[in-house]
Amino acid sequence: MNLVSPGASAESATECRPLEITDLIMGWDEQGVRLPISQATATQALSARGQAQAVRILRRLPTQDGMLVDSAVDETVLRVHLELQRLAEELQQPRRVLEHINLRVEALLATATNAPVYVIDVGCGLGYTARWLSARGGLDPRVHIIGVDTNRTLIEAATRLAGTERLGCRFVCGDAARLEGLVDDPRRAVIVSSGLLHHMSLPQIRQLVESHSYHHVDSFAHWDLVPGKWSVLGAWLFHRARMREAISRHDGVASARRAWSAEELLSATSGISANYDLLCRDPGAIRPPLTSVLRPLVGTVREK
Amino acid sequence: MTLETTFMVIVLALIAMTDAAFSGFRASCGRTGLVNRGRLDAIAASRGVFVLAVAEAILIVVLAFGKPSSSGLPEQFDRAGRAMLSVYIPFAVVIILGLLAYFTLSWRRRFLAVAVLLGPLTLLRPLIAIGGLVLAVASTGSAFIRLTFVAAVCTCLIVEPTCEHLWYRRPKTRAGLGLYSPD
Repeated sequence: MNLVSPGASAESATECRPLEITDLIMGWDEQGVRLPISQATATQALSARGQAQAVRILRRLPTQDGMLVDSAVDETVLRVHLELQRLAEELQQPRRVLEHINLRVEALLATATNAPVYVIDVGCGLGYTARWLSARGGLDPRVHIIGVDTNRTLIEAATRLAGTERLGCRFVCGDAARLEGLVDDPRRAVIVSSGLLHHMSLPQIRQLVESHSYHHVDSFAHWDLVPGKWSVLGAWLFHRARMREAISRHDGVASARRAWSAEELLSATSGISANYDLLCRDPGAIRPPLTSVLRPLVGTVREK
Repeated sequence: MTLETTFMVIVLALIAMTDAAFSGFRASCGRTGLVNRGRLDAIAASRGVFVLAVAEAILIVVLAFGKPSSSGLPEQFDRAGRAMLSVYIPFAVVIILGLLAYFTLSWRRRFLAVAVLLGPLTLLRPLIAIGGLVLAVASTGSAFIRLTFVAAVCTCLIVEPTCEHLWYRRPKTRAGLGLYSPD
């Protein structure tokens, strides 16, 4: 295992990373109003990176006056995320999250008898991790599980899915970096995410971690794909075998190509705060990351 | 029909039914979004077996009417079946090992069974099915037996798309999501 510590060189070339189609076909402004998406603009962005297959997939989406039709995009994105849930299921991702947060949650519960503890899944998508934790996590009733995502369509679907199974978690449409109004005491919050970081640039990741520090959250753990040829091959194989949607198959492989290395993540987040111990490990390049396909960038509040 | 041939037919039928159950399950995956969906998975698997049963029943009726009155037919059938099993049994054994690994490994290592065996084998499945068929067809000179085996393999391969078409193609609109239940 390579243990990389923060402090190495910072910025890396984000522009050459392939784009994911789902990142291009939906958008909301700061007030939560849906932005119209021009098919031509999205196509140009993909063409500029030589993603001919993605361009072909994008052109199949229905348009009206050159703009993507929201209802068709919603249906497509929901199907993609439903399929994506399979990946989380097979990777046992919610169990990994539970195993990780249990210690922090127990420690926080021990500090105050009645005060709640918050587990916040940022960039939760359809909220599978939050719903699983709520359904099977066996967490103390004082633990409030919250899913946050900027995608209103996914948040509405996550809320419905949780309602169908009568789960206690809740979902909020909003910015992952803003905890104001979300919880009473951010110091009692454990932040998690799964597969979020590769959607972000390194400055955005830094901003996210800065927000954790600003709010003095107890700890955070952001799981994401280990970069490298093994991950790309594994993503291709899994998505060919298990996914039906062309966008799922495309974006699955693009995700692996977009993934940040532990070194890049730690460099981008170094020096943000002396309050946290940061840790992120990549397996060696030769050994396939079979049991750690997703690995976390962990920040734990330093004992004083 | 000899005891050996009967046994061979039973083994082929068991392999086909198990494959159909998994086909039904695969058709349903990534469609419901629920956390607790064991009942839905069981329904999906039984739908796969049901589709196979209907397709095979139709096939048997059609073939029964077109069956030629040749005396060497049972021997030819036996030979073709054995050739087919020579491919399918090793594949089935590997699948069973993969499933055993999946259900016995700790949850941390369970993904290995999918990544190393079950995922790649899902991709190989149609090739294996056709490989067994090619051996079966090559082992017999009877056009009727060849046709029987081609049709039988085709019925197995159409189970998954049929299940998807019949029950799992429904787009999950915002209104429908969360209200999804077996039809």
